[in-house]
Amino acid sequence: MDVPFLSSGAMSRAHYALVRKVELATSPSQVDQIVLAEIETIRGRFARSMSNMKQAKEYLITLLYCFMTLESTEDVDLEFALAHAVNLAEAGDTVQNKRIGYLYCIEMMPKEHELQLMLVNTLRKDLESPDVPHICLGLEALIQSPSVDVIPAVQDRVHNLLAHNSARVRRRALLAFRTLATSSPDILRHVIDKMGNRLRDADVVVVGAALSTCIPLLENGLVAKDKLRPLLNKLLRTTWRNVHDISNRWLLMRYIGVLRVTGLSRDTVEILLDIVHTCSRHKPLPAAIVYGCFQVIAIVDIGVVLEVQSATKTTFVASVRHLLLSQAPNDIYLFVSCLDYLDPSLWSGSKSEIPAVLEAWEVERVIALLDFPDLSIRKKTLQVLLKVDRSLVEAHYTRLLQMDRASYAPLEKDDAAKRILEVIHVLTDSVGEEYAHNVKTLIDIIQGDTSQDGAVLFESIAEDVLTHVRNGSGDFRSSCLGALFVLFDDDATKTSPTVTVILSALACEHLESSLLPPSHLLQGLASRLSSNGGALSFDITLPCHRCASITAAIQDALLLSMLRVAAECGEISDNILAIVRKIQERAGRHIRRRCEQFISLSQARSTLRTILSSAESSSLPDFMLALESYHRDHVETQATSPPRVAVERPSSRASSRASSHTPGKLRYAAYDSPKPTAKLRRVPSTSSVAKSDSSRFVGQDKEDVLSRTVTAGDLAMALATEQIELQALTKFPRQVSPSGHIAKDDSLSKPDLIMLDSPFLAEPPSGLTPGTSSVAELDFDSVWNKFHDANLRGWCDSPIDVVVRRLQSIQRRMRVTAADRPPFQGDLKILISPELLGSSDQEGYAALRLREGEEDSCLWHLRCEEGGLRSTIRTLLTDA
Amino acid sequence: MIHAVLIFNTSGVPRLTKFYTPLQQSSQTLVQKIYSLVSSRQASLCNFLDAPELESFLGQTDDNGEKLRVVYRNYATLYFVFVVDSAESELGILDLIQVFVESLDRAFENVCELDLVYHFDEAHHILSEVIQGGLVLETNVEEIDRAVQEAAKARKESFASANPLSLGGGGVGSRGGTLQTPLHWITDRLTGVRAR
Repeated sequence: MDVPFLSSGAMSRAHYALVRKVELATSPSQVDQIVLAEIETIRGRFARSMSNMKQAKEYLITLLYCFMTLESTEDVDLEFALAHAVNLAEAGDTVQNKRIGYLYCIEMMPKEHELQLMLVNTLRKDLESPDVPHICLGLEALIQSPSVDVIPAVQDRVHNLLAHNSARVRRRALLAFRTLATSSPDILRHVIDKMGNRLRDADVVVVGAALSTCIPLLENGLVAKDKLRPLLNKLLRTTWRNVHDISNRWLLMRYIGVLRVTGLSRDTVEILLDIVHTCSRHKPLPAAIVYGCFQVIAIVDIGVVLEVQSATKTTFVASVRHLLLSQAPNDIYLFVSCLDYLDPSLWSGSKSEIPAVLEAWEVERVIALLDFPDLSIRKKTLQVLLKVDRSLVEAHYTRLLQMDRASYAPLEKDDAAKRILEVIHVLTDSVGEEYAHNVKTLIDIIQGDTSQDGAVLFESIAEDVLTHVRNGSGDFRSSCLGALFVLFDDDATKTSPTVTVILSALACEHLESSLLPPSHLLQGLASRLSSNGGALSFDITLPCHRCASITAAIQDALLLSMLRVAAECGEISDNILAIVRKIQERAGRHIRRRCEQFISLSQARSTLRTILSSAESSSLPDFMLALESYHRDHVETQATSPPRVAVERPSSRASSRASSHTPGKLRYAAYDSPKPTAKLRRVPSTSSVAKSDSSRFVGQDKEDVLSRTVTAGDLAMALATEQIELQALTKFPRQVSPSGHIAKDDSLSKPDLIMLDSPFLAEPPSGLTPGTSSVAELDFDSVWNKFHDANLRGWCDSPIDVVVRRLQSIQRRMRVTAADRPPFQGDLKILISPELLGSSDQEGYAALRLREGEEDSCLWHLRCEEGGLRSTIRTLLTDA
Repeated sequence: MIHAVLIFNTSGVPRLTKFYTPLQQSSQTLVQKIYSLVSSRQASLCNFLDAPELESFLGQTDDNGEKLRVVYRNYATLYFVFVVDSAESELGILDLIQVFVESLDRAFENVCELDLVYHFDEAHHILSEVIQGGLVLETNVEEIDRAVQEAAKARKESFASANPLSLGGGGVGSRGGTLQTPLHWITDRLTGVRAR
């Protein structure tokens, strides 16, 4: 950022200074501070005196920059500048100044703002201007903020502008009609008389705009398709024959777009085949045109296509078959998309009278695309093969199910499960019962693979299934639920954790669609709660911390679901209450509290109904939010016991502040030392997603993205938080503070809801769960120095982030220190420690330094005294 | 229809954001969400992806109930991202991104991230010559350039063209230290290597 002012291109010294300060800021909060101060300065300047046009323009641009740059735009009011923006748009001395005025109004002015009227007036004046740039400016403002109210004021003038001398005006006028038509389709009646001329316009860009406007005309039935089709076919033919190259690719694409709506004649199919043939030989490949042509061919009768193909002695597929050999994923996507748009008999040889176009090796290659890394390509390939022969997809499904996943890490198993679900979606389409059956089989198999680690909860499967059932049609949902709820009759001890979570969430969310009586569901859920409180938590072969977390997650889901179902039941039987009490006796704090809620609320149906009615949706997490809200409002406020940390409502930032600091009370104790702030302004992706996702589970600010609709699958997602955070640390090492802990920016330093209320972290330490982290007892430096005799070094052919991901598979605690932090600056430091701490100072510890090498490799240096662990890590580092 | 055009750098810092559909949530969270979707993708994947999770930001799917798609290209330190619905062809949008980048390059002569930072208004203007209200207005780079030149004759020269020897130099800001790296779209095109 050491750019001198003169060569920076900044508007002024002030602009230069602001940008420089913002770019050099070391934390998001610092950026916000700088920007908010700048906004206040500009507010003051606007208030103090009337600025000249140049200054006003500069301030408005700066405000727009500030708005984009702010980390949080809540409570930031930039409306104070709207009057100045309208003024600049109205009285600006240059088109450029007026443009900034309009831009500010379009970006910042609410739809119902009182100044809208003034803006319409300005816009009308510009439209009436004899000056082309002013007219263009007015039309652009109209296109960007179309509203029904403005139509009467501008309609006649815009209609006249359709025949303006300037092509720039004509095409903007056409687009203005198109955008105005979204709120008032009838307005298009006024352009019908001009469309013929505009479609034959001398300027190709005007023709393109006219073609865009044709689409809403046709879709709204204002022009008959049969009437327009001959004209379009003729124009396309003329354009293609005259040009016969793809220099005017955009116009061709527009034609193709309209033909999709009007349909096309045999002649046009011939032209399209010629276009595909020509384009496929062109370098670089005009992929969009080829794609568009195949999209249109999809609506043509197969007989016509065959006729054209035999007359021209060429086929559509033959023209693009070379794309199958391309290394570029976009080209491969184009190829499978082309196949998807065509009737399979045109190329696969499935009908004896039509010869196959693709050879056997090419078909094999298409089948191999089922394992392509890109999801879009896999989905398209599945659709193509399903159309060719369902047994091909079924064979792929069987192969995926039978794959040996024993050696997979949990994340890889999750990924494998997701791929199988993709196939299930395509195979079962809308047959709910079959879908349920396949999901059950999949979970049994995947869970079976993890028999030695049976407590694994496959969150992606749970998430996917819940979303799919929610988005399915009514018939699909009811048959799917019927098939899944039958599982309540199965032996509870044999139900896997993933299935239990799915059943709990579905019972809560779709209770009203269930054919089973609520009491039956409640009994089924209770029996699973009973079995979960037993076997899992005492299975000493499992890593204790993990086992307890998963048990708590499942118990939490079950108890919440039971409470929801209890709202529809009459009396709650004693044996169910006995099961809950039994769980309550030996559970941790969080589950104990949940049990208390069940016991007290399950009999109070009216209260439960009140809670249900306050929930945003019927999903389990929303029910939980409503329950917590009720608990906070009605129970905790009356409690005489020492105050607990309140659970935040997701929608109110103010309330979160209020809950953390009781207003009006004097403090005698010293305030906490300031929280460390993040080095980077942005919270990097994975970290932010993980954090937000987990927070979403319990609730967070309404404006926050991830608080939107809290999905049921988030319950499961919360479990992954630990791993994701670890990945984020390695990927974005600058976020690590000097002490080695994750630095938190302002948003992260707010009370972490998961920390406060999650069943996974709130469990008190017990005999089986490790206590609060004592990892900090040994730092990297001391372990490194202690193991000075146990050195191993080598090169790894993978980048550092891959290595770290691999290390996670050994299921140990890991602490990562960024490369720019001491000790050993320049190396990423990883301290590996045992899951259960405290047995011995050295046992289970390893210290690893990673230095980035060239071409995605890294140099590693390991110190570890435990033989088994050392060889495990060495294997991970050397097996590229 | 095009619902949004975003430019952010490889650290996720937004350089230009333009929404053609009213936003239901804050633009900052949307940029972060898209950054997290795009930045983790490898070169072996397509330049587009389905993003149904963006519905809650842009508040709609199209009439066919099809989901929103994110189409992106990565040039040097910048991601150019378009959020579109199924009425737009993802491959056509990739071409449009190229048109936009070429237009920026014409206007700034060897465009780099720094140009977008200091010529924020100019970048908006160029975008408005390419896209209006979520619809494609102009795709001819010559024509776009002519319109931009006409409107801003007094535009200052870009940093990169004024300081050819200082490329790659300069201090490192916390928001990214490679603001002056040219986007090299032309090299990519000549060598046939597509920008990611």
